[in-house]
Amino acid sequence: MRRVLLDIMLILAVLGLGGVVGAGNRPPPDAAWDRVQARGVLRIGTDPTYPPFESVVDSRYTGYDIALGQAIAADLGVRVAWVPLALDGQYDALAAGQVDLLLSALPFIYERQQEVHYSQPYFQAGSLLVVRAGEGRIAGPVDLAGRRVAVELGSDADTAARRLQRTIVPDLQLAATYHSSAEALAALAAGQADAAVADPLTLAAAPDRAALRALTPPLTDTPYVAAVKITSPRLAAAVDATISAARASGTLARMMGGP
Amino acid sequence: MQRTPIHLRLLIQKSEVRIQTSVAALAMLLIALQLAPRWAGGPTGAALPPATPLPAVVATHNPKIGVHTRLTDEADPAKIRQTLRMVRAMGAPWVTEYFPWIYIQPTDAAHFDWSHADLVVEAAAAEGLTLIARFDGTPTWARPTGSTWKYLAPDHYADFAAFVGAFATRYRGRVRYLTIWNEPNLSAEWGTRKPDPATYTELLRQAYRAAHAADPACIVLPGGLAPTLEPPSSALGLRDTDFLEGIYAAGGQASFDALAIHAYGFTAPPAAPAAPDTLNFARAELLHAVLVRHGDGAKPVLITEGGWNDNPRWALAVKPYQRIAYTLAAYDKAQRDWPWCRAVTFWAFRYPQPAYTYFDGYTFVTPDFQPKPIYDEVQRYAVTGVLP
Repeated sequence: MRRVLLDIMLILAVLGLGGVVGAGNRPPPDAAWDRVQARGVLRIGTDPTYPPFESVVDSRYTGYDIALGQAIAADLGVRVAWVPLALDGQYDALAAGQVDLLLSALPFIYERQQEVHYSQPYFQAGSLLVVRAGEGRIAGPVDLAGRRVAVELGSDADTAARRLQRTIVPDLQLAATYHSSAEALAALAAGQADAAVADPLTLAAAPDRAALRALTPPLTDTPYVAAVKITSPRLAAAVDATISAARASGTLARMMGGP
Repeated sequence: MQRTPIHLRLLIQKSEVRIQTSVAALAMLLIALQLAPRWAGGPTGAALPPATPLPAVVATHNPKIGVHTRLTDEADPAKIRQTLRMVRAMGAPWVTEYFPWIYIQPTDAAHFDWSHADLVVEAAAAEGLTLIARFDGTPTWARPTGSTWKYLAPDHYADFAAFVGAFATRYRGRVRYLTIWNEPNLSAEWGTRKPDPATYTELLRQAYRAAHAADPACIVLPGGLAPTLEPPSSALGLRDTDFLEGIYAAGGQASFDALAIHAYGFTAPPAAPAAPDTLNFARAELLHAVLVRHGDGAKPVLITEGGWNDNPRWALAVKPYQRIAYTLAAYDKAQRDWPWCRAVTFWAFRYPQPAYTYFDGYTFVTPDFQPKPIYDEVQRYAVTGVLP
């Protein structure tokens, strides 16, 4: 539901921006945009301690968000200056003008919209219900009644599975004995469970990936978004344009670790 | 739901008396007491005022289990009650909660707003929980312009002490544990000044006198010290053991009845041994040793913050399964090995809103009251008394 609302808001925002731009053929004021253009540099804040989204390897920034940031800068015709920021200081740095853009596997925060423009979601990090590729009995959570579901003990996936057990599938057989999502997926692939709940990154990296299938929609909604200041409508539109184009061409999926 | 074993150790909040008894017998007694007024009122019962509900009883095998709640930020009375109901249902008889001075005396020294504090105290009592109150947060009228709300200068110590005394008076018999300030060994918690145990001890002394004048049975605790190894030359903080020694050096021994400790495990399990240059859960033993060295070994210790974090975006976090195992083992260690430790209230039961930072990795319950797996596992341990 939150994702639907987010999509609607983003569409309205884009339409609104288009109306503003089109009304007088004069773009709205955007100091960050002007600064980026004048300096030829896009300063992107990120917490480079969260692979595979962002990390520093051999003194070079690397990861999914890094690839996306490079694409945004390329579309703008500028170069990137990466600014390392602790996760809990990112919005302050943006507000203080220390960076132009935040790209740091940021979850969407409804209340923050008073101070930032969020991009459209570029990655869905929510917990997935996973079954074996040939599974024909389980098409969604309600089919988990009496089924053994493997999860990493204590994880967000475990929380999601227990929520199902408390609400719509009380006789779900929870197997919360695994110490990682990778172990839970391996148990599923080995036939020791009927389903698993896991995060998309672990699923993508699973050795048995081809033998597994994620059901949609995800059990939880955790979209990752980019953020610019609320006073940066042109930059916000440019970020969205790059994401849209990358999504349409298939490069966004590859940036995010896909085949 | 877990089946309740026949014999449980029950903790009754008001008297803090632990009794071994039969759950069935106690349940029958409670039902009888609660129904008694209605029976006395005849068939309709309409002429009688509603019966005052008896405090609930916390069923647990480990009476030291506790959590630090975050009700300061929770405005909805229903959510306050639900939070404390879930604390009880988890099997935790203890809660630590923050009562900011600035919220209770926002305008001047003559006026009090007890509305939120009343909600919390009454809800905790209704759930049979023992409340550990902690105080700080200087109102603007009691500090210089431009200072932080953690800044309190000696010329307003009397105002703070009067506030503590007023709190002790209002909640006499309901809140006995009163914690004076928070982490005064950190600059950020001491108004961005260099921490100074001697100055803090004067604050503690004045607050202690006011609290005991209001309620001789109260138990005053110095502010829980942040686990840190900062040397005396640091402007950021002062090593916790050094700060506690500083309280003694400043003559503060008679100004506290129990010690509050912040016992975070970071990446080490609770079994990791204490060492002077190591921050881990067992560091509590070093602080207790300071008490013993000064002849205060009989003073109880209460862990008023602590625990483990499982957020994948924090370098000092552990895996979720480790957080569960370490948390249970820590509660168990306090019960089995630390007779001097009266309570272990881990940070933090629930936030009203997600922090969207690593802080979310400390909670037991989501903002929408969904129990995390750690909640279920603590509850299972509290009911069975058995570690997985």
